[in-house]
Amino acid sequence: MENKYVFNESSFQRMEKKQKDLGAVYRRSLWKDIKKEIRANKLAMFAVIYLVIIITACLLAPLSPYDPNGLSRADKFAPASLQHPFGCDEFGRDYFTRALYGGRISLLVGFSAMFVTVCIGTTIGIFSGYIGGKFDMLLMRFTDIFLALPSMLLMIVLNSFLKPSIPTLIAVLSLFSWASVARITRAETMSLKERDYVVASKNLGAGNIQIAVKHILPNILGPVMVAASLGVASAILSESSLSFLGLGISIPHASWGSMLQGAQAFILDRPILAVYPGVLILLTVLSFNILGDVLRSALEPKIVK
Amino acid sequence: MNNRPIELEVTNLCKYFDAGKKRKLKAVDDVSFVIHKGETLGIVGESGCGKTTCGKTCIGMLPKTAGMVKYKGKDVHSMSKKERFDFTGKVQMIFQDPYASLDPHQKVYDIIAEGIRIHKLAKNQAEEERMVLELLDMVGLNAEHAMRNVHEFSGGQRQRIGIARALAVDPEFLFCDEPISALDVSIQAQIINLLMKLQKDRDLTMLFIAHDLSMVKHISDRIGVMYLGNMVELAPAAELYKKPLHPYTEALLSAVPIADPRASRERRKIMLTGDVPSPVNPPAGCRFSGRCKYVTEQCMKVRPELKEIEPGHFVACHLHK
Amino acid sequence: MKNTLVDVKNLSVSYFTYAGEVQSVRGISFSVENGKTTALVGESGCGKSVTSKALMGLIEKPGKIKEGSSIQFGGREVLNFTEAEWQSFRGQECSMIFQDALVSLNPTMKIGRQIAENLENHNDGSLSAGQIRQRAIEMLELVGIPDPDACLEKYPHELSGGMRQRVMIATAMITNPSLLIADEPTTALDVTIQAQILELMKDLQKKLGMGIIMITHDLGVVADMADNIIVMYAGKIVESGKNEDIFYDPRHPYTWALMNSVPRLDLDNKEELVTIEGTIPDMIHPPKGCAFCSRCPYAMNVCAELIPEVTDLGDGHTVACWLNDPRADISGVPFRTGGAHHE
Repeated sequence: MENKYVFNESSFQRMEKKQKDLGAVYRRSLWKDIKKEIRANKLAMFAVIYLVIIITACLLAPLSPYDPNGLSRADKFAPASLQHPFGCDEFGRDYFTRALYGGRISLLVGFSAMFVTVCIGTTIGIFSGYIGGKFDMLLMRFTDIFLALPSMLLMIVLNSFLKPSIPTLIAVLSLFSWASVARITRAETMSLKERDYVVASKNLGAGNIQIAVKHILPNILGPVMVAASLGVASAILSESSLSFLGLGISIPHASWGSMLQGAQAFILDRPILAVYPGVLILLTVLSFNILGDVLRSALEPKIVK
Repeated sequence: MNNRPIELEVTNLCKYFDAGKKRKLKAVDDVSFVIHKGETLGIVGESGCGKTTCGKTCIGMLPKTAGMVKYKGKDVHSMSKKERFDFTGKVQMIFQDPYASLDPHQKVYDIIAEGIRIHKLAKNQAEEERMVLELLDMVGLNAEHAMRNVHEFSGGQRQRIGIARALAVDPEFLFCDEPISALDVSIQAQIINLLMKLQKDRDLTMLFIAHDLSMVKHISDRIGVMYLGNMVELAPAAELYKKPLHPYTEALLSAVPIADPRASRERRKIMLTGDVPSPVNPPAGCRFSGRCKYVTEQCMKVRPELKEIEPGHFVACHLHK
Repeated sequence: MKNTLVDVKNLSVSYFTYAGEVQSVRGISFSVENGKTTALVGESGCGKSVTSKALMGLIEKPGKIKEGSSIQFGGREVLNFTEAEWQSFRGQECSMIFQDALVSLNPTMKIGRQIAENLENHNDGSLSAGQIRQRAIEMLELVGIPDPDACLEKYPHELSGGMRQRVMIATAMITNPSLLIADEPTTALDVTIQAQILELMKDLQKKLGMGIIMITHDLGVVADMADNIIVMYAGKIVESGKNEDIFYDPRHPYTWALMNSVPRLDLDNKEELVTIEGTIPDMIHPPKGCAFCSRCPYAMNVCAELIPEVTDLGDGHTVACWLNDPRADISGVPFRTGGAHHE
């Protein structure tokens, strides 16, 4: 190939000076990294597709011709068919529709609890890590207490005193999970505030709030996103456990946990009724966990020197 | 020598760190010097000699233990909030690591504009844009770079961005903390040329810290040599290299390899034996006494003062009185 | 060639990353003489460390030495070695020292054990434990460690940086290898300690007669240490030759710029330093012509199209640059070339 070059008169003339060469360009963006990581990982691909389907399906639940709480004697324990893809439960309610409405509640609780958790945790973490000193010590001991509490037990106790409702559920779930997010963000903040670019910003006269918003917050988004996706999974799981114990969503509303609890009575005759919500919980939690792992590896600091 | 006004005056500055068990790490111990307007003072020394700590303490990034640092007559360490803010508009810093010193989540434009925004130097968006583009041009980058992410730049280009950020507030004093040691040889020369040009164009006063003695000599007007927290010699650059008076300076200069095989062969090397003692428990008397071949009993007991031996040439050694 | 210890022919090493094939070393040939110091010079990413790894058989996935490469060591082809042969080769015939002794030495192992380990690994049973210890003490004495007996009982963190580097050299040299590869051995050290270590290496070479491959970017160190110099750029050798030929008669614009980009401590000039604009090319898609073309102030049209051949200028001095072609336009070129002036 190289031999094809033919020498001519201009071969040995100076090249005209081009625009200065910028050199090798390393493009890297958060989303591209995440996408690349997901594409490279079959399991992650499955998790994302599954989550997209389940979330869309749950959002579109009202399109179902059935009322999730509407009773129908005739359809009692109807087997799976074209009209009732998952069959019907003991009151003849369409199980598929109920599963979708249950998913709405479970996902709503999961996402809301995660949101509240992340907001509280990040705020406390940044404050604690950035201010440091005695304030940090006090705040972290307080956080340690929450981490040390047997959360499930206390959630059960609290929920049995409070009136069961979705907001209570979200509040209780958040109350016991912000501490670990606070720990993560505090550690990140502590290391970030020593970085040269934060020092440079301080040297330029930037105030503490400016630094926290402009330099710390964008740089801890990565670990917070990981914590958030894992948080959704654990919130869905906790909600299911509480509902299963009868302390979560109250009848007649469905959540995956409460459906599981309802199916418990017929576990010997109609085990399939427990399988549907059980599998949905399993796959959803699993998918969010996989997503968390993928985010973690996509966001790992890469050497781009 | 230099008739221009004094920009930075450091008198008997000490900076100790807590080393546990009630011991003190004496990073900077009784250091005094002045920097005149428009001058570049280089500080050299081996790792652990306290040169970076000294620089950071001088611009108020670290609290002092004792002594006094005055910038244009004002004590750097006892400024009011307002004074401190104004100070940040006049005194800026270039960092050693071009990777760690730029926020990876910001665009070049925002990094450079940060100082302009904080100090409200631009009346409107258009003026801010014009200022950023001028700065980019000044450091040898172009407008096309402004909207890029810092990931896309090489070490030398990042260092240029760092310089543009510091210049954005139109400072009068620049503290350069080993700005070239993380860069490749061919890039080092680019940055040095840029800094020298900027210094000339904008009449900057610079405190330049590095361990590369040849680069320091090239960029500095005067050079201070530090050893174990002490300033052992301070002299005009050319004179220091021609006529080093302190035995440590002499050894340090002779140890620098020269990129010329013949000259390198003909040079007389002074080999120092042993290692630098710990700054937690430095030798009494002269800090260099343990490794000095001219050591006398006096050196072990009394610490020599930094004295002006010849006009402008200061040395702290009992050999020179 | 007289006294050739290592003969590298057409060595190519690529790293297969998911961004593509990074061609770190692109067909280089050079040889190292017995008892001489050969310096590999170049900027980070030029392939000098990869070359040394290839010599030690340390190229690991995703890296691969390409077909057609050859490394002859004392007449044997090392690239055909089995893993067992590599193990006896490494440490026994060829040792390596690194930039950072603290990382290379095991922090949980006493110095004595670490030094002896290399010898034990290559011991055919003829040495007793006492003899090995004796040899370790001799070695520590040789590298200038005061009180070697006490040093054997210490851990790496108890020694200073300079002392650790001495211990690492002792560990590498205890088996009396015929080749020592030193990868930036003094970059992490202060100048006064660096001078000590360089002096020690010269001294050891005189006493033990090993060949040294010195990888560094510090031209001062090169001028002081090297007999022969190889200048690498973007995975290729751009110029090689005797120390003085390279320093006083550089024929490649990259070599020339490198030599003139560092200010001289012994000269008084405050002129602007020579710089090399731009950055190194992307090694996934190396340029079609000369890799230095985009940064070269004297680049001609041919440079962008065709890789220059390696020209032998006699006495071991080779250069790969179109400026040495008789037809080249060399107006304004500040160094000697083989080209003629065009008007």
